[in-house]
Amino acid sequence: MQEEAPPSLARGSLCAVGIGIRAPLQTTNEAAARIERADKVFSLVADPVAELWLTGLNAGTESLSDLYRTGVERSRTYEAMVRRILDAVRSGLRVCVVSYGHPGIAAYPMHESVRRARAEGFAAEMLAAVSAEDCLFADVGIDPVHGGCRSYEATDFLVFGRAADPAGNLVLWQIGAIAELSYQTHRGAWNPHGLEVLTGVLLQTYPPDHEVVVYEAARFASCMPKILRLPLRDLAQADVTPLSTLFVPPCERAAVDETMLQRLGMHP
Amino acid sequence: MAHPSLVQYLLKLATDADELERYNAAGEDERRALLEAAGLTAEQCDAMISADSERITEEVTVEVKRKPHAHRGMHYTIQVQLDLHPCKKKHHHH
Repeated sequence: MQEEAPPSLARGSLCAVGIGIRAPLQTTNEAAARIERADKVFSLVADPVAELWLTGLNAGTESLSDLYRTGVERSRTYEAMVRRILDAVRSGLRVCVVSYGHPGIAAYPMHESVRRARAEGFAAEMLAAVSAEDCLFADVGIDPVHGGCRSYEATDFLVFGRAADPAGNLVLWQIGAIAELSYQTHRGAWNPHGLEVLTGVLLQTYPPDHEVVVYEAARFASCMPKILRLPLRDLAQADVTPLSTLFVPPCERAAVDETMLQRLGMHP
Repeated sequence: MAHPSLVQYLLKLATDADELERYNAAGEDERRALLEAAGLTAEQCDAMISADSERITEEVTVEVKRKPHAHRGMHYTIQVQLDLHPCKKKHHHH
């Protein structure tokens, strides 16, 4: 009598890939190959140029952006996305889900889809890609290893009282969507009051004239990134959109721990 | 319409290294000539020459909405989920 196949031999599989910010220029060959060979591709890129490219690469590409609804909590939308992705995996297809940027950064549906697929015994993996933060490091000229770098989602930074280190680099994602849990369509900051609150909190650590950068990566070939340098005190009035990332450089030098130098034998 | 659209021209720049090199090496007048030859409207040409992603996105959105096959909800958006239940989530972080 033939035994039922164990879950680990289920034929469906899932691969989560990102196509970078400036697709397909920033898309890896590995990601493109996975997209091309998949039985079913779901895209979460919401960029007509990338959509056209994806469709040319795999005619079975289906956008998940129809699940967004203005005013609906994003968590509900994401759950619907995960269900649609998992249904395709369960039906035995080799599924590739494609996101803008890096598939593992600010991308709950990607992580959750991979987690649930694995839990159900399907092969599932995620491939690394170019994120907005990677672009920021290159365009603004920051080496996060020099002085360290803390990176937070802006609402998370505020709600959970994360500490800013005045001697290190700070990256805050999504400063244009502070405290906004649903989806909006209008341009500009979705919550200007949230930006005012963030500015006030940062002023507790940094001086008002400390230069910060509002950044948006270039989204198309031949475009320039948006790099807006301004004093921290002016942040609440800055031209911020839901795609903006804030970079705050250190305002002081870190103190050397002499005891640690000795413990490490680093004294000359 | 036989002319390539803005979306198609942007895709060409992203996939054709020769075209991108030609475009990047061109001055403003030459760029405009390239864009007009590709069938872009005056507004689309202005957006492209501005090299501003947001302006180009606006033109792309207008163009996509004009086409009957454009699906709803075509937009740039963010993908984050803020976890307002940190006690539950902490288990996943560690």
